Amino acid sequence: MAPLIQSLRSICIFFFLTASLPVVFADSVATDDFVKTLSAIAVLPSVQDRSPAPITDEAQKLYEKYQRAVYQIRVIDLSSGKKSVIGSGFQFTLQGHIATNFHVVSEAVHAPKRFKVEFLRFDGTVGELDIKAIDVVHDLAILQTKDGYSQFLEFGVSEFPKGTRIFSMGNPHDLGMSIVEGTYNGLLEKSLYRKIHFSGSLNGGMSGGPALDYNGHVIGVNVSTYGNQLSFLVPVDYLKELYASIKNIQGKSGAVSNWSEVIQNQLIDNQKGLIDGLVGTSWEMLPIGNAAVPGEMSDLFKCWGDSKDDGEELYQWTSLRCSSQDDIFIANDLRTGQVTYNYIWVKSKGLNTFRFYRVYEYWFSQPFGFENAKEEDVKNFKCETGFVNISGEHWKAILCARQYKKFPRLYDVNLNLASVDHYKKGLLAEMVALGVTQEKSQVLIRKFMESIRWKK
Amino acid sequence: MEKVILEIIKDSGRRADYTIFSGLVVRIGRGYDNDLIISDAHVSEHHCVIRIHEGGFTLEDLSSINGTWVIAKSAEKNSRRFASPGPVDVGKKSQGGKVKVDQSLRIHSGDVIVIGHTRLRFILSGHEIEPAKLIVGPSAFFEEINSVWKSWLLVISAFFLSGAVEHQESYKNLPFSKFISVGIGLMLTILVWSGIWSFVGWLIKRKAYFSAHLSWATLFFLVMTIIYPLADQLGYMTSSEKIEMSAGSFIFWILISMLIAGHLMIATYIARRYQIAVAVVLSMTVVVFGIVTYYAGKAEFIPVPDLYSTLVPPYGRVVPGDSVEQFLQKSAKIFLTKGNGH
Repeated sequence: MAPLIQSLRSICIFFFLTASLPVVFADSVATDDFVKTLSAIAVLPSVQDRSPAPITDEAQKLYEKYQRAVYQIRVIDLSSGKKSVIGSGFQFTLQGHIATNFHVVSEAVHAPKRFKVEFLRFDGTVGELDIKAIDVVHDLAILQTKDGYSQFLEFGVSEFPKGTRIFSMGNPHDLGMSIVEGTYNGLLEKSLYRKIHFSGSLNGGMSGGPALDYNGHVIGVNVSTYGNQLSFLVPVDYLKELYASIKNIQGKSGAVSNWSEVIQNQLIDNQKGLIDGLVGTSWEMLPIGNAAVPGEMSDLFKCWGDSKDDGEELYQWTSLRCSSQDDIFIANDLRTGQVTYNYIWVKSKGLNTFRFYRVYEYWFSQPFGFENAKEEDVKNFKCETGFVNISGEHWKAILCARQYKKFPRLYDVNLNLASVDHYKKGLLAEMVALGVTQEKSQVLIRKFMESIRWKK
Repeated sequence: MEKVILEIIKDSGRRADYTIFSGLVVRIGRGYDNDLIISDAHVSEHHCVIRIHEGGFTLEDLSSINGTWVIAKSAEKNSRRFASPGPVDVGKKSQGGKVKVDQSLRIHSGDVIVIGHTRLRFILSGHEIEPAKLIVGPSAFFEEINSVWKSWLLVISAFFLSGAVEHQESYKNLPFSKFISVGIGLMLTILVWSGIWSFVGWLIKRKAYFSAHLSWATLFFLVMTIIYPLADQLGYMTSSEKIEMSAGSFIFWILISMLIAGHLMIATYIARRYQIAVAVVLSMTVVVFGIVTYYAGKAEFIPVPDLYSTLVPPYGRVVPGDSVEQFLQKSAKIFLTKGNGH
């Protein structure tokens, strides 16, 4: 029976994946061959990106004026001496503070003994950078060089009317500093944190570069792209906050020795806000089969529905899958912060109860993929199985958690529920919360379980 | 007058030899002028003597070097293991249930006399013995199933049962050919298995008993198919994969033992207790091998939760179920880790 149902299952997963677009960071490692092949066309980014917006004088003027403040940021693998990651950054103080994305320098944060961070300036100078502050939730990092240049960018604001022309600078694929013109399309609110929707082409290597208004003020930091001119910027306000935080601690002690502690605290603060917010509101309830279940718990979540009623198969199913829109980058193989929950209503269409329960059990046995982390970062799951009574209905419940190795207060948590009072129908419910504390996960799971209602 | 029988016995208590005496006196020793001549270097030339008296027998030690010892019939059963005759500690009166004969000692039928390294059981001809055991041939049950039509009736039931199982595990209406092919597969397996045992039986007994083997193997399949789901039910009710696995392994072990023991019984002359021992050990090996392979094959890191997801229809469920709060409290232990300070 297994292979047949497995194919069914994979179709379902396929729908889920296509519904939620994969996110790609605007950076990558360019190989020399790749640079050679692309170098001919890469000098003029607007030619290669088929942008409908023509190059204007404004872009040229801005580039001329501010290119000295924009840097290429390189993470160097100390054992080979080669670049491991490249991105962009920009100087925003006279003291040599340089902003970039956390994900650009994450390797050096996690393994400072194996990596160092360097900059490459417009004039070809290379220098070393210290990591001063990080904000993993908003994907920002502040670096500092002792060898600062006299020119720096000033902070602006991040709210404009939609359609305002804005400019993004960076060094795509190690091809040389470029400027991209695009359109400001508002702040994205349905997200774990606010982001600027930028209609323009960000490319690999531009991560961490500045986005400027026509006055040359920084409105945000390049962060990610979904391709096809759909890109995102981190609003400059978060950078201002992060900079304020280092100004506050300045003088106490120079270098942060334990970034893991910092990251853990930031994640805990972030999820506290997220989960307290979720638990504090009343949730939209959606009908599925004979039950009513939590739908979009807040506007951070989107739900997709799907169903199948195949003529040959003697059962039918309806599914609802809800997920928060974003995750938080911690390291190349570790992403966290996402909350996902889904439901599958399974109903017999001619199967006797024993046959039905074979199918039902199969669907119950399929775990969430948990591709967010690898063995280096998390321990094995531990599970507790039992019967739970929720508003007069009996459920088989399996609650599992795995601890993060570097952030021991954080867990990936997985709840699986199967209604078990009915002979030929049943509801499966699953909740996944990535990177949460025991306390917050229990608060969320308690409310999730207690919200589920069975319509008599 | 009752005759005296002296049995020379091994450490295990089994008889090695015996001699019957009808005189009033039985002299025992290494010398050739004795009534019972014992070739044991630790026995004196004239070691001891058994005499008849009114109403009984006495054992007298004839100042032997190593002494004469008696294990009373009642004590003998318990002390058989450790009262092996050896260099005797003459300083002690009694040792391991043995009583030293100083001058003379009254003895009874069934007592064991220990001289040197030799053990003699003293028996009177009127000694009571256990009734004869029935000769255990191929048991009546196997005679019963050694019938062509019965064996094929069982095989046909298995054929249908395998089809029913296939039907239960499917979620579509399966074509008839699917049931036939599954049933035929099963039949071939059972026929080959029974054929091998028949061949073994033919080699040993010159008689194959094919129908008996066929019936027995088919019965095994039928019983296994019917009672194995009990393990699922048990694990589901207790929410414990360990219980499901233990129950499943136990059922499997018992049934495989019975299967092998049955085939050995039909095909060989091996004593029944050896049949059972061989069957139990063999099936235990299979089960242990299975369990070890299962755990050894488990990856050290599994990226997804290992869900114990067994579900069975709600017939006769009695578990009341925890409240959400109770469940969360119980599950708090999954967050506990060594050195985590919770």
